[in-house]
Amino acid sequence: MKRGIGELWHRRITRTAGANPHAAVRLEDVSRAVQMMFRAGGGDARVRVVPATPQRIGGPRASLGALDGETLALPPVLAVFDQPVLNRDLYLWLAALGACHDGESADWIGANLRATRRALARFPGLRARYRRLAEAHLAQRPEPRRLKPAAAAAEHAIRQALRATLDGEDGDARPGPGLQPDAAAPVWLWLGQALPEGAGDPAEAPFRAPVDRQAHALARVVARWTAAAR
Amino acid sequence: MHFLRLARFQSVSEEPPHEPQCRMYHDNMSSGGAPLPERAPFYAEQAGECRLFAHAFHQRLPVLLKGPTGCGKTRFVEHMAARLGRPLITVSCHGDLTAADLMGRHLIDGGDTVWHDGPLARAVRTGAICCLDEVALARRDTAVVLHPLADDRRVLPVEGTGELLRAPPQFMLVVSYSPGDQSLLNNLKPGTRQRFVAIGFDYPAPEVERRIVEAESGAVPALAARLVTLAQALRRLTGQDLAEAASTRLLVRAARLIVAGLPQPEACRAAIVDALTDDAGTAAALDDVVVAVLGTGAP
Repeated sequence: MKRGIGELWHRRITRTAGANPHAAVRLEDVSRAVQMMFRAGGGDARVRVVPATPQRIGGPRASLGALDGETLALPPVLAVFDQPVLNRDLYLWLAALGACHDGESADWIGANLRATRRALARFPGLRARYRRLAEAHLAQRPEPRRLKPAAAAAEHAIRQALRATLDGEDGDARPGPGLQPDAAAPVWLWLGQALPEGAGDPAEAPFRAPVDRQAHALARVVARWTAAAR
Repeated sequence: MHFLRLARFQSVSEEPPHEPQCRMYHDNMSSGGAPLPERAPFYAEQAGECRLFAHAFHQRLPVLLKGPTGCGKTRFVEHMAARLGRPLITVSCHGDLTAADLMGRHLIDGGDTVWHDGPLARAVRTGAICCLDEVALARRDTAVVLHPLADDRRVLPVEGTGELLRAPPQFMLVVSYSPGDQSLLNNLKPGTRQRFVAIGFDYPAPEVERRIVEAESGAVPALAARLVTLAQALRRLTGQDLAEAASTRLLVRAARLIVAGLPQPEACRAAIVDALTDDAGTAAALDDVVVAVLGTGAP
């Protein structure tokens, strides 16, 4: 039973971490470096680095980074890029970004742009690595013209914001200030909204989705009964 | 030249600290009631400590310098000794240092038994400034000889010769310690502490620290600024990931290695990272922070 759950969990996190399992880097292998980078960047020493749980973000479930007052939740495995060094750099970048991030904000793009500027100022040695990461990520993002209008607009706003960080612009003139993380394909270089309490516990994660599905199914049945009773 | 002169008791320095290779620094910020000689060791004043020290000297008051390791306490004393025109005797205290080591002892010399002054007795006789570095490390019996010298009596009873040495006006007793070290806190008793005028030190403000790194290493301003940024990042790890903070002394040493041609990560690994931790995982994570701040480029 335990082994089966473990395998299920492994498949889940491997699937949600990205498309390059051969280049995967596990959070547990870099957690020391991530925690120290976060604190060295000025992150609250009380914040714990924990594995994030999958969310439905612009398509299949994915584990994205998120910050709240107590945890910096990062993907348990990153296989976003086809080179392990880039995936490791992504972990360190997210730690640096988290140290400079204001946390939850109604302006998701703006909050990440501000944090990016601060992180690059605080860690100037990351500029070259950030450029590599951002260019590689831009190359793998979906083409806006192949998306539906709303998704295309969101994708356009995200691309414009990412390019602004590469061009040294402040990106304040970008569109889509009200855009939320679930409106577009995952932006691996940014942090999203904080997850619910306890969401960082990987032991709970395999059970959460089925429980959610059961709850939704029950709600649908109750709704049908209610409608029929009327 | 080292940022801080470290002299063990066996090799006590006893000369005005005029070092020909020392970079000179004429700082308009310097205050302090004492002229700034051409060849005074570099010291960047932070908060009026030069003026305070000079007043204490003229008022014949002993001074206690407290601050984290490598923040410039010893260099400050060297600087002030030069400004006040007094020779400096520095003693690095350690766990085996006794009162007799400070006072002196009889030694066999050519068949005779001859009294040899210790560094403290010598400083009193010659009217020097005597600095006891990390004084709380010394054995407790040293307090017996320091107390009458540090209060209004200003005398040093030399048991070996039966003398009672009266300190001349030019004599000054300075002690220093690093409060962060718990082993020291336990040893420095209130009765000792309260005999001294205390001057607190901390790591310099970024702009001051940048000028220190520049002056001490010959680094260009951009490199010095990056190293100071690195120090700020590493100091945020103190207490949780690191037992001690990255000191200005470590920055200066890294800068000197870089100026000498060593690649930045290699210089920082040798001068900073390995000085802060022996743990391989922590060192590797510190390397990441170093590269994140400095990059991997040439100096």
